Amino acid sequence: MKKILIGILALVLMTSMIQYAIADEPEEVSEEEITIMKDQIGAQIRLLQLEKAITKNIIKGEMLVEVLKGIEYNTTALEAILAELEILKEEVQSADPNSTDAVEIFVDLKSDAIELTKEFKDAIAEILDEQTKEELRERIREMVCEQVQNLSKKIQNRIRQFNRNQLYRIYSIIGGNNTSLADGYQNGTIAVEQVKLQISKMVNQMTKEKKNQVFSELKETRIRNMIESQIHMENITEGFQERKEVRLRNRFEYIQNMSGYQLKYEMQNRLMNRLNNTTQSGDNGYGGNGEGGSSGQQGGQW
Amino acid sequence: MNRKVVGVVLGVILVLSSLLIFSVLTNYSDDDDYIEKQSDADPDEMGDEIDNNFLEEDDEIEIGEMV
Repeated sequence: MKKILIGILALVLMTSMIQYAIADEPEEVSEEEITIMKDQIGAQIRLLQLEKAITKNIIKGEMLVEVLKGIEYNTTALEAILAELEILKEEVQSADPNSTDAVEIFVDLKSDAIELTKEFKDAIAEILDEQTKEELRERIREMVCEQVQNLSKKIQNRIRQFNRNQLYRIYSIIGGNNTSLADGYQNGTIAVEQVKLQISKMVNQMTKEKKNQVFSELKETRIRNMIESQIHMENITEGFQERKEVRLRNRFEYIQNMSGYQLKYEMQNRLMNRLNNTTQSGDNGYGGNGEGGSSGQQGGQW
Repeated sequence: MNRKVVGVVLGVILVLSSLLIFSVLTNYSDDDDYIEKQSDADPDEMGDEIDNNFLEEDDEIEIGEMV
């Protein structure tokens, strides 16, 4: 019966994949990324990873701005992008991983992070030649800072919690329970590869029928999760433009309290242009969520 | 003339569809064999299914480079 169910699930998956291929597919976020977000710890992991990626880029961007200031280049436009990345980071930090729209928030904010990073990179590309860019890449590649290191530790801890829960879930399927393995993994004395190896050994000792049953259950769960993720992604795509507009408006309101006339003016212009582009283009790619993530601002009117 | 062409095209589509359905059905005429082929746990596939449940500890998400 389960085998038939897997077959049906596979067919449904293929059908939804075809529909999804035809639909306007956002490229920035994969189903694999959001699949783990159905789990609370998984959602925490993704939001922390996004925060880490944005933090790294802000630090790198600040260093690049300093270099350009050194050669007396006007960096206001670049600083405006970095300032928006800072706002974005705050939005990620204030996002609630337990919220029902946590996936939507993650996808939207990640899309923003990609867009802002690309804008910064394009602006740099207009200023510097390839050799200088390569030198700067080398300088910032190995940049380490406490903020990023702390985030890395947090992420690693959450991943261990997540994997530990997964291990117990697999135990419930294969009918085993090895707490010393789980504890060893949790406290860092056992690597995840060893955990996988131990499970494989346990499965290999099973009868063919039991092995097939375990295989079926694992596969069924994976396919079901993938279908759910795809449906989720399709739902998120709807209303993208409206969410992006709300978010940009929220940011516009947020910067009204900023000091520094020149930077504020530059940011206002940038946000206005982006808002106009968003409204005019009617694109259906990926954007952000203004509800709940935008530095405490809600649906600004202007 | 046009009707004849449309008729021929439809006929070809019908024949091809029939051949496709026939080949699919005869390929897996035995349901048990079909299901067995779908679900037999190959060691590599089983390994992949187990791996898929875990995240690598250095897992990261990409948003692009600044320069």
